[in-house]
Amino acid sequence: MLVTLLVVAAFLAGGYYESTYSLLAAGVWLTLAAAGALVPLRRPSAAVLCLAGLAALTALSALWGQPGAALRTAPLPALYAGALYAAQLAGGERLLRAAWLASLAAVCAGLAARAADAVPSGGGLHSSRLAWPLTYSNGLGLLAVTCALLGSALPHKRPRAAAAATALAGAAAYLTFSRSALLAGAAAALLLLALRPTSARGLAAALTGIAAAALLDLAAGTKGPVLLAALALGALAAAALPAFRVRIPPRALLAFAVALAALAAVFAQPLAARFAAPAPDERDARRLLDVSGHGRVELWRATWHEGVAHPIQGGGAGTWPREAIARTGSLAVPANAHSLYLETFAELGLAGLALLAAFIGLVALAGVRARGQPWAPAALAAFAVWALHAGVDWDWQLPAATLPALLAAGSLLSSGRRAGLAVAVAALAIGVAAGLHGIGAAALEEGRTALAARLLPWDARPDAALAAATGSRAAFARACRIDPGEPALLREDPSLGRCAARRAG
Amino acid sequence: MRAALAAAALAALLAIGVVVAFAAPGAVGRAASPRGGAAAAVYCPPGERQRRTDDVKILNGQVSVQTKRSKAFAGQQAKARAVYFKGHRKPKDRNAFVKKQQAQAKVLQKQLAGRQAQLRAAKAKLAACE
Repeated sequence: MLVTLLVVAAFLAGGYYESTYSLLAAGVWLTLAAAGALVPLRRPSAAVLCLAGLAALTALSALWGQPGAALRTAPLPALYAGALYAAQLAGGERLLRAAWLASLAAVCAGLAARAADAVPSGGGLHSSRLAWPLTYSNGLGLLAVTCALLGSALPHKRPRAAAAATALAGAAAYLTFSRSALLAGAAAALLLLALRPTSARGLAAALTGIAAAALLDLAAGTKGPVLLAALALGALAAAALPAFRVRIPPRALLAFAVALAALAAVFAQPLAARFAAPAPDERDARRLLDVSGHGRVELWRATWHEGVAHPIQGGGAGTWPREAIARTGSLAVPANAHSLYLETFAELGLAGLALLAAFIGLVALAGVRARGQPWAPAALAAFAVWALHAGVDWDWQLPAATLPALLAAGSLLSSGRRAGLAVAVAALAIGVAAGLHGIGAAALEEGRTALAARLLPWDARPDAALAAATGSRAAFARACRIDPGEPALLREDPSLGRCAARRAG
Repeated sequence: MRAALAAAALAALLAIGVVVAFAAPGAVGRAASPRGGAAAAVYCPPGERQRRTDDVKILNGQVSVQTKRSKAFAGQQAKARAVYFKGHRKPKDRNAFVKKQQAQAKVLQKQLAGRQAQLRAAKAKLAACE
């Protein structure tokens, strides 16, 4: 079920759309309900309860934030809580291997489509960034890096084939030109080497794949059948690598950390200035040498201010876009803050941040406890790369980028006593709620605004869409009554006029 | 009780699938399309594409006007200089006139460069919608 979840999410635009993640949440929880009814399940671990708590807080924030925004966001953490619970129940090396194979399938599909020039690149017509199937280059970069880490660290019956596969993942990671994914991957690779020195071969295989892709990109460009040849050469070279280990002495690690800290102290200010400076986003390999954050600092500033304005409970789930529009004075802001931690602080306050921190801490603790298990280093590395990358991008909003980390986390969690029937009943309720929301979201995305309005009566978007499509002032007025600050009202058709009054409080 | 709960869960799963398949199949199709674009949805929310296309059109027009102004000024610069030099012999006066012309040309070039930078930024924003 979990592998199907990952594959389906990957090939449905990364699972980004509201209907997709809501329906996937329904699928997970209803499957858990059916399984729990037939076979008593183990109790959810504390980490699962933290994510479930985050989902509950997200829905509850409808009371102090915007109901439409909060309730449309709630199925996402619910999906993650369900997936983590299912992963905890499945557990172990088999799950992690299945996650590796699923992510490899998605990555290879992207490479094949690029070779066939069958899908658009990420970033527009003049971009050469690999993005499909997740349809976001940085998200695919994270998935590819995770795949490379898992391939490097899991024990394999056929190590040469695994090395070849890891080379493909490395090549795909390079072709996304995602600086954040490659940097986070490098950091996680160091962690992996420290935990499992024998993963050096796999990491070298990934580097071989990167080198093959980079050389081809420099020489001739990476679209068309020539990519297949380069990938094949890279995979063969990786498969020919001998097994070796790299032991990093603790003193060397310490010296490296000190040197890094010294460099950071010297270059922090100019780097930070360069990161904050606006710069055109190059759509090719040149962006790997670019330090610009491409507008992230402005987004983070707006996010910080929203959090500081409501530090305990946050502004309410899903309220970031309207706050960003208000603070920047521009409708052209992206749909999220590009940082899981800052956005959680802004929308759910310290309460939400505490739940998130507890979840991450509990998984790390579980990893330490499970360190004797052969798959534990792989799981820890996969989780670590996600935890790092989610701080600077919108992986949380892209299930296909987050689910591998959750499967890795679940493989480390141990199951406790048997749960009662209450868990199955709760799972049924969550699944039905997520399913109804998913149907409403799908109807809205399809343009069936009447059905969407009936299923999502707290959401202004169906009436806003109806007003934009038909010019109906009555629909516009209804939307304004439900949620006058809804960004869709501002964007759909400014000629309809803005809502006269904003809801107080 | 357990069997009823399991049956309810499976029935709910089936019912949701059937309703989505009949009521909103396009939503799934759109997500599955290579142009389904998570990135486009984030960086180009609904309604933005038309606004950004309009912005690029307007800025294209402004760059065109500014370019014509710069070219027209450059074209008449030499003629104006010749006319001025005919009536003014002193090097000091001539130098001052040339300096004034160069300053005017610089202002027009700066305005053109500004508009071109705005146009590049607008095109980059529109690219996020592709």
